[in-house]
Amino acid sequence: MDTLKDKSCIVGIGETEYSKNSGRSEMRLALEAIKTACEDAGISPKEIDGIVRFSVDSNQVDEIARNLGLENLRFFPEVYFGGGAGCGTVQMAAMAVALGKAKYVVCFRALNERSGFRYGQMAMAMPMMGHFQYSIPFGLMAPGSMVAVMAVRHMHLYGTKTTDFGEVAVATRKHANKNPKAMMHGRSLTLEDHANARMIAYPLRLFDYCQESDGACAMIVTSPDRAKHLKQKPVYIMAAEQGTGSWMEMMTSYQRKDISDLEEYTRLAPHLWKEAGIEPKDIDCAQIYDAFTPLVVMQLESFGFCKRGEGGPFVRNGALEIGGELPTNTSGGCLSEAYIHGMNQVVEGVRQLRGTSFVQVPKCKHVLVTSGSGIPTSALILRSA
Amino acid sequence: MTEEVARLAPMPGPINQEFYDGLNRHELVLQKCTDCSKFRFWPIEMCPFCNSFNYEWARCSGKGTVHSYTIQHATMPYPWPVLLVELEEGPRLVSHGLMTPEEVQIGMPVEIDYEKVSDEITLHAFKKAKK
Repeated sequence: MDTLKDKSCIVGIGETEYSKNSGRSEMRLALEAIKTACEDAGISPKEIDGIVRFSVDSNQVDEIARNLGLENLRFFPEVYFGGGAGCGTVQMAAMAVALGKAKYVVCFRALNERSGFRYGQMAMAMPMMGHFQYSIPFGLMAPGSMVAVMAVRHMHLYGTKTTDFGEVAVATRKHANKNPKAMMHGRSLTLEDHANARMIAYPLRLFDYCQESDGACAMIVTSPDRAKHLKQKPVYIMAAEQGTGSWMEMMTSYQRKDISDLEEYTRLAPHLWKEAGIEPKDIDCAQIYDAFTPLVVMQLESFGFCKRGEGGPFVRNGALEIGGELPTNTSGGCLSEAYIHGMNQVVEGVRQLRGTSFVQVPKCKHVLVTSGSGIPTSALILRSA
Repeated sequence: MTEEVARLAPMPGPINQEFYDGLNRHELVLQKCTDCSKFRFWPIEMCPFCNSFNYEWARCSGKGTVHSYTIQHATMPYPWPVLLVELEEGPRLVSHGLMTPEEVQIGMPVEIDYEKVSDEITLHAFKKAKK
């Protein structure tokens, strides 16, 4: 059967610095990340013939192409649903490369999320139209509050504890403390700090929330044949999937039977494992989208690292740290490195497989990367060459 | 708990005007498929169960149970219960809980109440059900 497995690879990665105020335009950030990714790969930006953007990104493809001086851009789709798009952009690129629709495809995300539009303050910034009119006016003020409702249900059904969420925050923070690029570098965090922090929306406290960041990430996808002549050891795309669930709505899919199940991942996971031909136990390192800590606990269940309801016990005792059961979010993730809509987690996945992470997992061969939760989403399995 | 909370008012459109008109009359009316008889929320064109375009606006009992909840602290002057109420008719509504945060429990029976937030808009809220 025809699959996408190993028919494309990531050969270049680029990032800007991550900050609360980049002091420059989102276009400038995007171009810096793309240029860096090209340099990393050892190609000229002029060789790019495909660009995949997040639909929510402010940077339009034509303007990027004009800046890069591209004359023959052949592939330029966009992927929807905010942070759910991340791995989906790589999937688009992988398919285009596998089918010969483009040679070098760049995926990117650039945002001034802290100095510009802050998603955490969307209630104040949006007219109450569309489906958010059925939640925000009642006091469900931000994405974290919407996830809190699912987390409370998970706690009710399975006895998941707030300290389990704390374990996620602490593990990612420990990783960030070793990553000089992380926004939370040099800021330690204990379970006690987590438990004593300001309550935002029960059961979520301050450190259950991700960073708000300005910055950009980009990556270059090409074929294994072309990769042979490039600078870096290629990272193969073993599997790439998008997924949705029942009663789909952005952040508040509360009509579905089980709101403690991040159904998007539960449904895409079997396809992902099948395409990659490996199992959860083969994953050496995971980059799990962590806009809010409960999402990590719940995703571990959806992807089959543990049984339904056992995400809480799974994360206890340092399971997500280096040397633990599943080293996760080794650059600090969205919680402690930066919130670049999870694209920084794709970049970190590539670094792990190159062996160049600040928090390197020994002999890292297979990495799972996931994208935004509570929305239509996507995921990747990557492997080293 | 005297401080006023500025409530954000929804902007009704053609698909949901009847829902908001109902709330202004202190009635909870939801779309009910006239082919398969299932209720749905929020208002949409097609019945997601049987794909019929036919529906009526049917009055609900206003009774349900708390399926989940959160207590919103940030941006509120005091801790503010937000309930996910599962109605007797099936659909779930996010609503304001008219009880103390300590009283909220999953599974607790609740019944509808109404909060006027502007001249045009009344929102539903839920309080503990009378025994």
